[in-house]
Amino acid sequence: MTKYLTRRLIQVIPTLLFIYTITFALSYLMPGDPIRAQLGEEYYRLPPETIAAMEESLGLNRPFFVQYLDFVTRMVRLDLGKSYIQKEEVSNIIGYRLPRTLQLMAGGMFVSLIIGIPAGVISALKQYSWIDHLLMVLALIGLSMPVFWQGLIAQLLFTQSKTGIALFPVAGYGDGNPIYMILPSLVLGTSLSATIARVTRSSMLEVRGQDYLRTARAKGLTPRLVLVRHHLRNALIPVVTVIGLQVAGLMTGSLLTETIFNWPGLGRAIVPAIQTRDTPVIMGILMYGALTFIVINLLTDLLYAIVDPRIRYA
Amino acid sequence: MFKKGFAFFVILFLVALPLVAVAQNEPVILRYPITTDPEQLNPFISDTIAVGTVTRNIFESLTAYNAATGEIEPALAESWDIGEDDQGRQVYTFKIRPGVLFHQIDGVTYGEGEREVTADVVLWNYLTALNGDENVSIRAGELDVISGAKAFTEGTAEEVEGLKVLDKYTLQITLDAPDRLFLINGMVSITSPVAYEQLGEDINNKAVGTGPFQFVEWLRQDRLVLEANPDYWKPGVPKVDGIRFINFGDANTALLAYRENEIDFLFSFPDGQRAAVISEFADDFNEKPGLHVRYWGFNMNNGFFAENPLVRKAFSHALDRETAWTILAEGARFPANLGMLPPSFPASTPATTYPYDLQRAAELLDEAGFPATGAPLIASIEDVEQCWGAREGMPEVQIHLLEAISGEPQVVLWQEALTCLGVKVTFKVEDGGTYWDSIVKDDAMIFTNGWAAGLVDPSDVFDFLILEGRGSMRYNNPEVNELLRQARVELDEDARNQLYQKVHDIVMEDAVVIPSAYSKVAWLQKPWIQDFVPGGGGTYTAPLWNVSVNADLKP
Repeated sequence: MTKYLTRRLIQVIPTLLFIYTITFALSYLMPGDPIRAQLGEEYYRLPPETIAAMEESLGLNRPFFVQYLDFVTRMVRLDLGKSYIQKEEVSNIIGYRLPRTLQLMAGGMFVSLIIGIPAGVISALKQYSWIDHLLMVLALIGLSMPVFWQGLIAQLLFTQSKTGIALFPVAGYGDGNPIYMILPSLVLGTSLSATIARVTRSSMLEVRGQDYLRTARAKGLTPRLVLVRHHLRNALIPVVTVIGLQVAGLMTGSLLTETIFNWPGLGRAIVPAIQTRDTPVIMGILMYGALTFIVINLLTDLLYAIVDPRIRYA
Repeated sequence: MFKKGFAFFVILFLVALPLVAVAQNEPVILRYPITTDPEQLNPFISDTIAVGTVTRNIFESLTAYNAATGEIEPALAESWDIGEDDQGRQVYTFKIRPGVLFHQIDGVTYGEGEREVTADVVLWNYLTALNGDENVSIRAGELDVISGAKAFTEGTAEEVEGLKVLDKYTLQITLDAPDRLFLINGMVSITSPVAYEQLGEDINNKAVGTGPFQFVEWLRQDRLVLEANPDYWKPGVPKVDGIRFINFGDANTALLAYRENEIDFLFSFPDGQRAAVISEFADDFNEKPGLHVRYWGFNMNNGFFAENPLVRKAFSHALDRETAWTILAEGARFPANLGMLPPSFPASTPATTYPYDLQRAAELLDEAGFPATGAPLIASIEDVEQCWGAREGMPEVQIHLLEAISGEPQVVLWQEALTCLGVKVTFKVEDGGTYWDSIVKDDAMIFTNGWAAGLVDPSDVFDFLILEGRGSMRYNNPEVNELLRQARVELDEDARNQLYQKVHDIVMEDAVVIPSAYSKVAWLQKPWIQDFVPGGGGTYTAPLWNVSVNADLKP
């Protein structure tokens, strides 16, 4: 296990470097620069010497490889630099926002699990019944609805006294008040729950005919024990894989959810950063995003061993 | 029974009393939606609308411009004299208001007497603004009218000849040439040198001024909070306990929050919902003419349009402003039927205008040497009796558009009209970074921009868009430049307006720009908000320190 973990952790370094290089190259190739993007028409009010000095001070006039090496060297030292626009350390920006994005993702994941797994199990147990059809149609609707649309509908239904019931605040973080988190988590989790429900259902159906289930029943275990200990547990392996893969979906979904619900996470920071070509912020957020994705995938792999004791890592 | 009932009411009263007291002492906070966070709060570095929305409540200058009345009012200077020195140069002598204190915020500790604004402090602010290092200030160019300022900025002088401290509360500023707008454009937001030094780079994220509100906290893309300055020099101001600027990335979300009374104002209406929103909140709706002009510009630096004035005129005649703005955009703006200046400006009626007239546009294209040939580019267009065939020799025209305004009806309407005239048109929709890059590199032959004047003064438009090729059009006409230079130093109002009228006539005759629309300053405010009075420059110009809240009207 330790060997496996060490190997996986070492693999993180080239993976991150690869992502960093590609992202930096794309960021460099994007037309425009932060000075023009920020100043707009005001650009012409400044003397050319001032503009040149600004480019010099941000290092924008240096060749690609010099800028790239500068960024990589700083990243190795865990120095993410300073935002071109906000003049604030990128580590501070991420330090404040990453926990909030993770909080939203965790909320979304929680919602998806408590909706998706029971729905999948019920569907499988009641295969071809009206309830199975209903749940699968709902899952299809959940999969088909874009997150931003779900967000708007949820706001209309649950925050507006005129068009629904004003149960939750419209938007915001509310200084960490949990009530502000409920609606964005529901929206974020609904799409994912649809996928989880469908995978759980098909996996449950696949496992249903296995010999060990017949044996479990034959030895007199209660149906509930058979379901939880043998049926569901074995059906969960592909579900765990899907959950791991869906983390990327959660991250991109959180970008839209954050915008609709005014949630102060990474998504709300990266969009203006891209618009203003604020490369240090773009690079910093993407690196943390990539790292989060890699770590969660690693945890997912480790989780296999818990779900299925036959799996051993060496 | 009676005793029990009495006791019940006594207990109820005792329980309710502190609750009532709490309700009465609850701070009155303005909940103000914003769509963009300020880039940062350093007054020497940036002066965008997003920054100004917040910082005008924190910083003060020697004078204050009242956007609603157009008057210049005393601020940190309680009075000033304008005279001449022995060389005939214009000299301003400012008497600084004694006893004005800088904000006391976390992270700043003042020594004895360091909190007060004095002439030395104001001098330090001017010298910092004139610093040639662009990391310190980008405002030096705006102040180069001060005698000796250029030499100081360039590093060839250690002092600014035109800035003199006469005593603790008197500062004298001498100008190289008369500047009638110096009391507006020559003003610097005064910050504390002590705070500037102690906060270091954090000065970009915290602001220390003398204004009616002081900084509390800022969480980007979330909220920025100010509280009333307890030491503010003007009695009875501000009238609320604080302001909470709430960033709404999405106009729909802001509308929903407004509907649920979570914010006190609404400044941007979701696309396509303007009429519905106005109808729903008819009692809350306010509107006044604005000072912003939306225009299509031609690149005059080089290329096809620089060489073909008749084609520019033809394109100008092809824009149906009335249909675009009054009908399709639900009256979001006034159609710009005059010229580059909104109607409230002097010299706003140029001799030449370009009303929508496709027949005339077609004649101009013929005259320019691009005759129509063959079949029309499109079969038919509604409301147009005749369309013309593809034009011989006419290149395909690419028009650059900012993504944010690409959905405006004027875009489709103009494209239809130009296509009908036989001109093949494509629109290139770009985000801010790419768009400005295309313009700066002269890649954009036609583009659409807007300009928001801060003052009802032609110089606030022409000096930025027309003078010496400064604007995106790169229009550099020596005759116009000379007229604008004369107008800048002309102190007689009528003579000055005549000069601006000539400029306007020439620019419109040259057809370097197609004025499309003049803005409306429109907003919703809750019934309990009182004395919110913005100027034509936009809702951000409203002095929030005068705004009060009638708690009786709050739900």
